[in-house]
Amino acid sequence: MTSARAEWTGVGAALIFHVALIAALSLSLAKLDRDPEPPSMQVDLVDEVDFESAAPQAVAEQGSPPPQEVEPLPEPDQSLPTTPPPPTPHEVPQPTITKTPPLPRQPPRPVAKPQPRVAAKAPQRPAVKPDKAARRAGLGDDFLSTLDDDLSPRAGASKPAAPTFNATARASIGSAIATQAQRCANREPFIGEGADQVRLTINLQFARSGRLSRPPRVTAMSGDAGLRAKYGELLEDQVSRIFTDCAPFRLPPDLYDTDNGGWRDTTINYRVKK
Amino acid sequence: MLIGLAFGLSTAAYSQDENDIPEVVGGSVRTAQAIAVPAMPAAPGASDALGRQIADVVASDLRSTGAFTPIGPNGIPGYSFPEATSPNYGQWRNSGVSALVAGYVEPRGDGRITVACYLHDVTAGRQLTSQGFVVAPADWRRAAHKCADAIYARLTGEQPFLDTRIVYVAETGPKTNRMKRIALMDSDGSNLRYLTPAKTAVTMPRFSPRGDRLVYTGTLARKPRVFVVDIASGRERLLVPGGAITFAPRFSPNGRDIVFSWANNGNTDIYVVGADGGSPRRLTSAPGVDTSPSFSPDGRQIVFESDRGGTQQLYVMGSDGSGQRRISFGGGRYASPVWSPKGDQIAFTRIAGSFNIGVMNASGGGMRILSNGWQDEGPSWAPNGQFVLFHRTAQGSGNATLYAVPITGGQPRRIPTPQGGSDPSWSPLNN
Repeated sequence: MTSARAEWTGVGAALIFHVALIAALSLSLAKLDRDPEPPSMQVDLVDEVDFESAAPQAVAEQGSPPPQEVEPLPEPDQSLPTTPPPPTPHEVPQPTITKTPPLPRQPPRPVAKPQPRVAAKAPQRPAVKPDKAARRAGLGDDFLSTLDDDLSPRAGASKPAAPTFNATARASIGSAIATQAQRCANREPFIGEGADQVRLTINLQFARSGRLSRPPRVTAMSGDAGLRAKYGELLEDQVSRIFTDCAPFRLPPDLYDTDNGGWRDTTINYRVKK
Repeated sequence: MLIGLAFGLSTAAYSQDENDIPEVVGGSVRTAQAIAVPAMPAAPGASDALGRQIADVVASDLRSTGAFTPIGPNGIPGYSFPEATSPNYGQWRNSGVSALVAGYVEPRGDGRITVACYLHDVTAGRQLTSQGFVVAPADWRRAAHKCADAIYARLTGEQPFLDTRIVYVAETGPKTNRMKRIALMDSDGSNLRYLTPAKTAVTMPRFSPRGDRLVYTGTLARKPRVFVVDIASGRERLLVPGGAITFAPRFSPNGRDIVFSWANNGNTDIYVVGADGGSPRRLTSAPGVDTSPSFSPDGRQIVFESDRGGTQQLYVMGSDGSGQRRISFGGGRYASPVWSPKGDQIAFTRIAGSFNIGVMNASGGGMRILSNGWQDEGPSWAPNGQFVLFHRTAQGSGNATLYAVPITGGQPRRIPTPQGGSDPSWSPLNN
């Protein structure tokens, strides 16, 4: 009998506490500021890969972490000129090498593959301020990961280290040039029987614009002497067409001409399919 | 250890990259190249129509090679004098062509005209070649052929062949009374003229290496005889005086000798004689018919056909008759062999049900059949060795027409003649 009374007392107390808890939770939730749903992300589908980022510019979003949680990026160096360098003959000034505030830097190119920008890696960043590292990139994360760590922006560093055109960068640039040229190379006509046995080594001199600053120069030619005499000039013609037709080549501006080389002076091999 | 291993791999990768030059591989698009051939401007004193006519011939020549699809001169804009050397590359690039033939016609003080010819790569935006030709106004077609040759050679790497002539047997009249004449024309069929009067039997005209003389088989006293003709004067003479039955003549590469067949006492053998006369030397003596001899371009060998083994087959021998050996083993019969100008191949007629034109390696083997008509025969090489000329007789018609087929394969192209034609021979390149 005594135990039954105690049981009922316990059940009653539990009910009272539950009701009180529900009431308290309802009152506290009603007072919370609910963050709106983030807007849906627009994705552009493109068919070519490019070093130039076409990712949408990162903007401050509601619900992002507070600004103080993100290390501020250095302001652009205002002491640098804000106008493009004087164009050299037959060159197109490249706006990406100027120091003008780049927000919005440039409209996304329709031919470029969306890639997360280095400086805009975290979408929750309130605003992306330009710096040299961000401009260098026009590059995607994958490309930068192949470079020396010194090329990556350091936390807290006011300016990144000077870019290094090391072997890996050279290989990546070479691969990028070959990839971009291949589209035009595929249009070249059959020359003649045996032309596939001739291989040219070509020196290319680029302007900053990504166009050739002078005609391609054959530095070596391999193959049978008769075939070289017959087809060498025609193959050279093809190289000239390819690198004119596919220009401008889109390559990272700060690797154009560094202390240890750059894509200004590039060597490629050229041959034709059988 | 891991650090050391990583360092080693890194070093290896670095050295490999240093030597790894990126490669671009050109395509092998096998379509004819689109090339613009607008009407050429004419300077005061020259006919405006002439610039268009020259462009017409250039376009026609380029089309005949099978390597190009000329656009114009009709239907495309012309250009000014200065634009012949400095065209608006962007404009032409947008028209979908990859090359542009430009030029002009300008009268000279001596009564002749200058035909200037420029080839531009409109994609690369640069001039590829330029040539100028001074001709009498009546010879404007030759200037056009020369211009087309310059473009063909620059864009293909092959030797020119368009400024050439073709000699053939023009045939007229019913099959039962067919009249034949030796006819000479430009390689595009223009400037046709006849070198002999109509006869019932005229065959196998062949050019001398310089293109100034012909040998052919005619008849005299109802017997086949070989004649030598000077093209400029029209004078002709018997190759071998007397009553010898001679046929199937051909010049040696240096033009000093003529090799031919001589039928005597039921046997036909191959002989060689000086082109200006002399005593014939016998090169073969096997029983049977040895005929259709053709020198190799170095003059050291002769290919011919012979039935000494029971069927018509191809044989090669030294130019003195030594070392005779058979080179055709492919089944069927083989006839009318001709050594290619480069010396690496021999064209022939293969008889296996139908008659077809083929080529094989000079040492035999590597046979390829190039034509598929019912009766294709009588091959003759273009001087650059890229085409073989022959005559085709349609089944049941009895009428022969001329065709040229590229040795790389492709459809034979009809060579225009005003009447039936057989036994064609391509001239060397004109001077």
